[in-house]
Formats: sequence, C-alpha cells, structure tokens
Amino acid sequence: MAKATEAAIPEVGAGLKPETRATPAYYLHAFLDNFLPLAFILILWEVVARMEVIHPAFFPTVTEIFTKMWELTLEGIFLRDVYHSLLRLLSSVFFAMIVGTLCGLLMGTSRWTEKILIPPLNFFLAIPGIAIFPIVILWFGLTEKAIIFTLAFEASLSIMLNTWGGVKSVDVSLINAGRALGASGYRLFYKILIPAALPAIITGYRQGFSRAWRILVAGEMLASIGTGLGFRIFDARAFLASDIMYAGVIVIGILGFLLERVALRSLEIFTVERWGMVREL
Amino acid sequence: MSHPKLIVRNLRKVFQIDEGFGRFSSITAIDRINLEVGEGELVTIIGPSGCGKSTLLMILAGLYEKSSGEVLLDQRPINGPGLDRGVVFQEFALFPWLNVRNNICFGLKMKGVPASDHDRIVRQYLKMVKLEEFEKIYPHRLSGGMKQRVGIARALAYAPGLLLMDEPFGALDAQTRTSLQKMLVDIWAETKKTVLFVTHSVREAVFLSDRIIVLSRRPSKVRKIIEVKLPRPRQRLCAPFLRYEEELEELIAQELAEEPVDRGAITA
Repeated sequence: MAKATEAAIPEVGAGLKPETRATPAYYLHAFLDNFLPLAFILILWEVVARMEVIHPAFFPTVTEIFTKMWELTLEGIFLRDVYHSLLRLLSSVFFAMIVGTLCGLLMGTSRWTEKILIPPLNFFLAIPGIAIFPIVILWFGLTEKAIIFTLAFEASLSIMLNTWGGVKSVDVSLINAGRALGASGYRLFYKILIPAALPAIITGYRQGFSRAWRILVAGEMLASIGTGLGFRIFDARAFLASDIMYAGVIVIGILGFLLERVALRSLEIFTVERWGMVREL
Repeated sequence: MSHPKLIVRNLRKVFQIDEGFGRFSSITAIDRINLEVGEGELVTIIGPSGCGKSTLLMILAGLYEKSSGEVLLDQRPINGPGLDRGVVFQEFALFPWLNVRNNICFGLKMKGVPASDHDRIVRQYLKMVKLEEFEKIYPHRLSGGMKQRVGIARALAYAPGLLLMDEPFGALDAQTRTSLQKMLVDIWAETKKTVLFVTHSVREAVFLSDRIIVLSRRPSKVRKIIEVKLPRPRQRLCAPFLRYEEELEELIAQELAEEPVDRGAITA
C-alpha cells in the first residue's frame, strides 16, 4: 500500500491558525479590539459623572477632562509633559535593556557571575523602586539624572532576572546542536542563546518598562522636576484642578497601554510568535 | 580503504554525580570500548537501554568529554565538537527562530562557505530529503518526520566526513520511521558518507547497517560485532533478515537478564 506522500501537504500542528497577515483589516480589528473595551468604560464614566454621585469638582465628566486636555495641549504644556516623561522612560529603559540583558546572559552562562550577582539582585528586587529614590536624590540632587538613574537601575533588575532565567531554561539540545554545527564562544551566545531565550527576555523588557513607568510617575512627583505627567498631576492638587489630574492619569494609562500593545506586542508577534516559541491564541 | 575513518581505543567514561551536601558518587557509563568504522560504512550501535550508546555518540560528537582513551577521526584526535562531523539528534533540535533554509545554512555559515553557494547547496539537500517547497517555512509548522529530514539536511549540508545519528527516528511513528530509514539508505548511497547510527531497534539496525556493534549493559564494552551480509535493498520479511534480528535480540536479552548491580539509565 503506497503511503501518501508526506511532502505534499504542509502539516500544520493541531489547532494552529494560518499565519496572520498585516493587512488593513488586521489593523482595524486590532484597533477595535483594544479600543472598544476602553470606550465602553469611558461611556460608563460619563454617565456616572453626570449623575453627580460624587461632587463634580472631584469627579469631572469625560468631556470636561478631554476639553482640559485639549486646552493644555494648545498651551503646549501638555505635549511637553508627555515628551519629557516619555524621554525619561525610553532613555532609561534603553540603557537598562543593554545592561540588564548583558548581565542576565552572563549570569545564565557563567557560574561565578551567577554566584556573585544573584544575592544582590534578589535583595534589590525586594525593595520597591521608589524607596531608593530619596537616596538617589541625595547623590544627584533633584535632577533628571536622579530620575533616569533610578528608572534604569530598577528596570535592569527585572530584565536581568528574566534574562537569566530564560538563558538557563534554554533546551540543552539546542545548545548541543549549535556546538555540533560549529558555534562556540560569542557566536554560540548571539546565534543560539539569545534567540532561544528571547521569549523570556521580552517578558523581562515588559516588566522593566512597567516597573520604570510606575517609578517615573512617582519620581516626577517627588522630584518636583517641573515637567512630566507625574509632576503635572501632583502640581494640579495645589489648584484642586481635578480635571487636570484625571487627564494626566488617563494619559499615563494610555501611554503605558500603547507601549505595551504597540511596541512590545509587535516585537513579540514578529519574533517569538512567528517562530512558534510562544503560542498564538 | 587504507585507514579506518574512525578509531575508538579503550574509551572509558565515568560520570561524577553530585548528590548534594558534599557527597559524590560515580557511574561508569562506558568501561572499555574499542571499535573502528571504515570510510563509507553505515554502522549501527545497539545495546540494552541505559548502556551508554548515546553517551558514546555524544563523546564522538565532541559534546561530552571522555574520561580516558583515544578517539581518532581520520587519524586525528577529537577534542570537541567540529565541522568535520555532522550530528542528528533524537529531539530534532532545529532552531525555531530560523526557517528551514537558515537552519540548513547554519553549518555553512559557521564553516565560512561563501554566501553565493548557499542557495545551491540548500536546494540540493532539500531535494535529497524531499522537502523542496519548505524552504521558507518555520520548524514549528513541520511534522516530526519533516523536522528530522531537515535535521539530516542540516547535518549534511557542510559536507562533514562523518555523520553521527543518535536514535534519530526514535520519536517518530512507525510509518514515518520506516520511510525515513529507506530515505537514509538512499541518501547514504548517494553521498557515500560514513554513518554511525545509534538505535535500540533491532529491526532498524538490521535494515540499515553494514555492521552492527552490540554493546553490553552498563558499564559497557563491545559485546559483539555482527556483519550484516544481506543485499540491499533489504527485505524485512524474509528468513535471513529475521535470523539476524533473532541473534541480536538474543544478545540483548542476555545482557538485560543478568542480575542488576546499580541500575537507572544515565542522563547527563
């Protein structure tokens, strides 16, 4: 009995969808998937605010909030705040990515590095990021440097931890295959270890971003730095300008959301999901 | 052929096991193995489970270190992994972040083969393993049999002198296994490679090999070397074939039947 030619049909694993294509329809669906749940909440908010369950000075309606946002944008303050906050975040996380990934890779491959770095890593991870901030201010004063240093340090902790774990969990047969195919030293590192550990590394970046983002807002409040979303919210309490506060909070949420959904998710989709290392749902 | 392609002399492998709390014990996986493989031969290594046949292959691949003894490939000692050998793994071990083409190219790049030759070589080997249309596909979309075919192409692409295969078809279903065995023999005839193949399947050993090296149970030595004098293509369901199978099964059963001393398969 002739066996059906195995090579004829590409066998897709049970339940796998065909590959997603980046068509306009895809982007539309992505936008709606993300936006509609939030829109629903905003509508609910509007209704509750108009019912004046809480005093309107402290619970403005959505329309009032967005109007205020628009005004602030026109004045240029708002965009400057967003710009400064993002700049602090991105520059510190960028630095943390480099340092954290490198240290994590070293920890995952060198016994001595691991022994030396694990205790301090665990120690610092246990401390809430914002708690070191006053100390850093003592070193650097109420400056940008203080904020960026703290953020970079904290983000790199998360990145280090995840990268280390990821490298150690790399399937040894992949490493053996790499060695058998002639890879060693540096080449084994960046051709095998990094791609194989990438799902964990991306998780580390995600955690690093969110850790840094949270410290950023609090840090801007503490440092009275003059610009930035955190500062703006804190500053607004002097005027009981609740609409500014809400606006600031909403924007912080949106930005964090966009970072995750647009930046990190795209990275994930174009790397580990495409490679089947992380399951598409 | 003047010199054997591969010479193994007095090979010994002892594993040190860290039992924690400062206690160590040792397991002798391989006691003393002597074997030779001639150029262009297809030789199978078989033995009872846990006897160290995969360990032996890993040592020959340079992925494990030997405790003592000599291993010579083309008269030169083996000290670590190298591009003079190709390895096919039971778990396929394809790189999930590379498509089929780039998996196969990996060895070529490590070897320094000029990029202009890559396409030609990749297509040549994809044709050999009958996966021509799958060049741009990522491994996770392939079935087990297809993955292993890519694994074979990847190991052969950079023209190593010796092909080492560690129970490569062990994880596949019976039908796929049979068809890949036939494919392997065809590829071997076409490329004239020297192949050293580890298996625990008696049928597979008799089907594939010029010679079968039977190992004793752990700590292993060479129990017997059987020359398979059957013409190719081999017919499984005929008396001579089955007689070889019978002899092998008897040998392995004897090895398994003796009183165990300290058992448990070695994984390292």
